[in-house]
Amino acid sequence: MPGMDECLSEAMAMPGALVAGLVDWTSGLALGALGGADPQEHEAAAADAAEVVRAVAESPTFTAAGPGAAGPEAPLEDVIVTSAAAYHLVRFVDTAFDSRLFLYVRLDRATANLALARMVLRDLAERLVLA
Amino acid sequence: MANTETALKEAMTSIEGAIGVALVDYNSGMALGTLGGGKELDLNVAAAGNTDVMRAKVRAMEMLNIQESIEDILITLGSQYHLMRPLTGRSGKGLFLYLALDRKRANLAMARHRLRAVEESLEV
Amino acid sequence: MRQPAGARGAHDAHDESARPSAAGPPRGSRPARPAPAVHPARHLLGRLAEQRATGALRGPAGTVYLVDGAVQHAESPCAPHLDVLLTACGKISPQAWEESVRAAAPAHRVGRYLVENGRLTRGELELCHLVALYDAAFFALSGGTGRDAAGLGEYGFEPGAVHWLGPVLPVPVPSLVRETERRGALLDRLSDWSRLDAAAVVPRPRPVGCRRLPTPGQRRLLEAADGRRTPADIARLLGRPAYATVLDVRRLAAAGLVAAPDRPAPPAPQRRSGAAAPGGAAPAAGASASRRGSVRARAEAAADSDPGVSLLIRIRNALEARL
Repeated sequence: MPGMDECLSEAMAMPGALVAGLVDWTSGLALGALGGADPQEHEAAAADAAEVVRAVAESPTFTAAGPGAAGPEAPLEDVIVTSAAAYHLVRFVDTAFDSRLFLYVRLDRATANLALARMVLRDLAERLVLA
Repeated sequence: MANTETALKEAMTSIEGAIGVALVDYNSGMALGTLGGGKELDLNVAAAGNTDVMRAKVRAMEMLNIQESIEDILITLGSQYHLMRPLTGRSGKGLFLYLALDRKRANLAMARHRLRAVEESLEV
Repeated sequence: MRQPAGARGAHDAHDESARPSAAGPPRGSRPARPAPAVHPARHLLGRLAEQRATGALRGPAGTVYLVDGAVQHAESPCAPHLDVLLTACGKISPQAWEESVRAAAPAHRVGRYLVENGRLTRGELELCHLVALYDAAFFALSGGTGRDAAGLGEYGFEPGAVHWLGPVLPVPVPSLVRETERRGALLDRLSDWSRLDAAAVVPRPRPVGCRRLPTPGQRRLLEAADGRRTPADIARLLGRPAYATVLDVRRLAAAGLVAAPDRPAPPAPQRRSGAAAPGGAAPAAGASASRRGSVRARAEAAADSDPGVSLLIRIRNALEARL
């Protein structure tokens, strides 16, 4: 079973991977991070992704909390932001204990395979917490 | 070039698995036009929810001084995709297209491609 | 009415940082001179990291354990420990937890034991440990639910003390300090509602025109808010980090969805929470266990209730006296 560091290494092994991290969106804290030029880059990436994730996770549209909800059972799976140069992939980590964690990877659009990256990230998020 | 009504119709008919589509004002969260939706999805409420996400992204980029242009944002739920795409043309500033898809019937790559074509042809 | 957030300098309550182990200023008085920017505990922790120290930094609101200058673990009576996070959700039974602590605490390797015996995956242990560590450290390094409350007591370092959980993933001190500051800043944005941090909260009907709906997690919080439980109680009950709970309570209060009751309900019947860190369950953990016990004993003596609650109340009172 992989720990967090192995999980992030595997994420970074994907084609085009630039930065990978495990983030707590309560505050935007990166519990762990790999890649990138310096720690500030990780912190900015984590904080940026956490803002978006918080908006998604707190919106009744995506959490089935009220009218306009997507359905009675609508677990959030992932969020992808596409910019001119990069894909920002977020995958929610479903821990047994009450947490607000997600895996994050930024990929170079020119070299990444988005469909593959989504599958890899899903697999990593599951294996990280699967007993 | 297509007007809003034509563009929304184009999106609903040409994109496999489309549940609803809206043109949303990012500043107010109000939908300028909607098509589809219904019992399973209140498009006006969903437009407001998606606006919150779009705003959060823009606010975060401003706060962190990240220079990037957003092409689209995709949110995957158990049974649906929600896709937002800001308008790039001068007349579309502050607006985005929002598309909800049935995950079982949708082809995501194709849907993103088509929504882009609709967005590029849209004249507000 | 409290001062608005912006009216007070970010750190100006901490003028005792130059002498972290000395007694604080008289309670209830405002510092007379402008304060240095660094919180005393964080300053001390930074020095210990530079010295690559091993041991326990104990303060009025918790303990931070260092191994070779990196943070190995943290505990606070304000924040649920790992066992609470893991038993509340049913991931581990209380019996299995106690058995693991009995078996592996003497050798300071409870974490590894849990993984080796299939109770947790390594990933789960690491995530839960990091979440609990940052949560407890926030309170331990803030002196309570906000950085304003620092200087309430003494900080002392016990060289050589090691936590019974054993090594999991170490956290560099600068990362921990930065995160603690960021969390403080997030709470400061909602400082008008800080008095709810230690209050027995109740849900309020949704104000007319309030667009904001509680998230599923916030709904569980509201269901647990019975007018007796404080945010710390709710965090323990739900097995949820305390910082996230305090933040949620302030945000819900800002939205008008939660408040302190007009007349507080009588306190709930005493329950000795198996919640609190298994101080009692790890008698073999040596010096650190006995010291932890004494910290708790002091807190319990201060108020005949939950140690986290009494601490929060003291902090709140001191805060209000300063304003």
